[in-house]
Amino acid sequence: MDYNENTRALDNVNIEVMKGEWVSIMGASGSGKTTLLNIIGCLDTPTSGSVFTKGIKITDLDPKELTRFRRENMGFIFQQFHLVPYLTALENVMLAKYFLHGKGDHEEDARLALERVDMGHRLEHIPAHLSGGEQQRVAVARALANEPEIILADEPTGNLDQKNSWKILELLKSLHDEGHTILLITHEPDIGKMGNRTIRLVDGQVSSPEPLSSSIINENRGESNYE
Amino acid sequence: MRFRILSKSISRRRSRVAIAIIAVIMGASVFGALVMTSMEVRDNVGLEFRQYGANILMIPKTDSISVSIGEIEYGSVTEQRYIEESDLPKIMEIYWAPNILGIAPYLYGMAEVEDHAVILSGVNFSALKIVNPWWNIEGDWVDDDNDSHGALVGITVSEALNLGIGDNFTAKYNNTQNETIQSFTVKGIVDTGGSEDYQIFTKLLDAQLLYDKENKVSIVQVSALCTACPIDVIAEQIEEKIVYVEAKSVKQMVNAEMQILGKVESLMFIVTAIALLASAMGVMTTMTTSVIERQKEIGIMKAIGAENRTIASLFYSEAVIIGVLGGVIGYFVAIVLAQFIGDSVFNSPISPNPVVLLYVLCVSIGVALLASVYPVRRAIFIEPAKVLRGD
Repeated sequence: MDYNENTRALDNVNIEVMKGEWVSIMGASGSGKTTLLNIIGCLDTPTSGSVFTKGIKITDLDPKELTRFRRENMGFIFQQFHLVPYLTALENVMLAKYFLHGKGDHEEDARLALERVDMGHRLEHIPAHLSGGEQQRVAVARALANEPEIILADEPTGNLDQKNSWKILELLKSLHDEGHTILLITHEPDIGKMGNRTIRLVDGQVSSPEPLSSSIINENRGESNYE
Repeated sequence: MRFRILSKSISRRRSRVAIAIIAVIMGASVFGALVMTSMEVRDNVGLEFRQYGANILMIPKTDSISVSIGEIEYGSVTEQRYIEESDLPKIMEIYWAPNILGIAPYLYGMAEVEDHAVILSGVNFSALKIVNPWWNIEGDWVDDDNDSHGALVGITVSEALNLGIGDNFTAKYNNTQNETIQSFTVKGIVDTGGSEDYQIFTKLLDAQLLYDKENKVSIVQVSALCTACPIDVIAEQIEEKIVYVEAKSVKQMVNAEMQILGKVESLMFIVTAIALLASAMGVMTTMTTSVIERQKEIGIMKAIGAENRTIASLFYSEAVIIGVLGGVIGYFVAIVLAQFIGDSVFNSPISPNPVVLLYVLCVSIGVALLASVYPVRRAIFIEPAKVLRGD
């Protein structure tokens, strides 16, 4: 998978993720972790190779279909939180619902999502008036807003202190318990261990593919399959 | 939700949006002023067309005889001549007769009214009404058939002689042989702002009796209905029918004004085109800057599921808001601008025309949308994976 003409960000990556699995992606900076996540999340397309998600070959989808597939199935959490700066916490969550449904405010749903991440008391604050931990919780609520099956988290705790990090990880844990598939990029071995297994990338290649964790019991084998 | 995004993103970038709005105001105001001036002046010229309404003026040809004793010239004497009223129907025999709207004869004379010398003109009121419909009459027109001895009095005369509607007055005329006296009743006061204000109008027959000029008229106004009709040909044909008159068209006066308007219009058209282009550039620049500044935000929106269509509609909505605000403000600036042009070029005030607001809005929204096409394309080509990476 070429990221662009000059750099080969990912090469000969062949992985498979089961539904309901929590997979940690680890590797040095520049090893292609984010590119891998973006390709799985339909934000990026590989120059060659194919990706199957829920039985759909997403590498064959056109940009519009990719967008639709992404918003229906993927929830993103970024290291930089990436909230829209001039919208309140509530509106940032409503935004995701608006993009999915096209119209309406869905204020109630957004409020519930924020209450779930313990942000019910900060609904009307804009990101600049929230702490990093609070911003990330809003981002988690936004990722959850459309109840996606797959959560893609790119170093979600990279900018947070330990206390806030654990809050976010606890949230992810409960999402995992509910059956969400989680792919999480991290540098921290402790966080990496929270997953069912870890994929290590070195220079765009998978270095030590670990076997599927035996703790995962999944009858829908093959539903999520990233090649 | 779209409204919330728009209002918040705009209020956060007020100064930038203001620049775009100012750019639109520039173009919209020049465009609006052009349309207003053009409409108003065309209306005025049309009105003037009707005011000159008589597009042709018929006067009797005069022969002047120079008077001299020996080598010394004493100037010339001209014999006062008249047009025979009975010849007027001949006008309707010309080829272009269907284009003739009205034929209004006048018999002028100087009468003595309440010890003042006043121009008293005999007219055919029904014809007068057709050729001079813009006359401002307080009271009523004189009915040619029913109002015997009715008169219209010019406003200046009415003030000077203290004549109001319903008042009676007598007019005296000293002929060489005898003095004739007629009495009249004021039916209406006429106010045209022109020479009519200094005259009294009576029925043609009454004046002919007063002046002892039966079947005579001094001049005739002929009103022709034409957009592109050969007014000079009509004048020539009238001269052929009634050989002792001179028929002059007043087309040239109106034409001169139309030429000025045409020149002002083409000048303003160029200025408008440049102004609108500048508006478009202004909007495009601010929009493009805004897209670049907001690329991360656009990337976020795309990452969480916004389609290109949604992103485009956000920017186009902003363009419409800019267009509407710029258009409305531009319209009011246009009113001021049009006043200035009206005062300095045409010497006539230009009244605000609400219809122009509609045109201005269409143009300003159109310009704003057109100018957004490129920035929106840029926004659409933003790749979330690229703009959200790192930082």
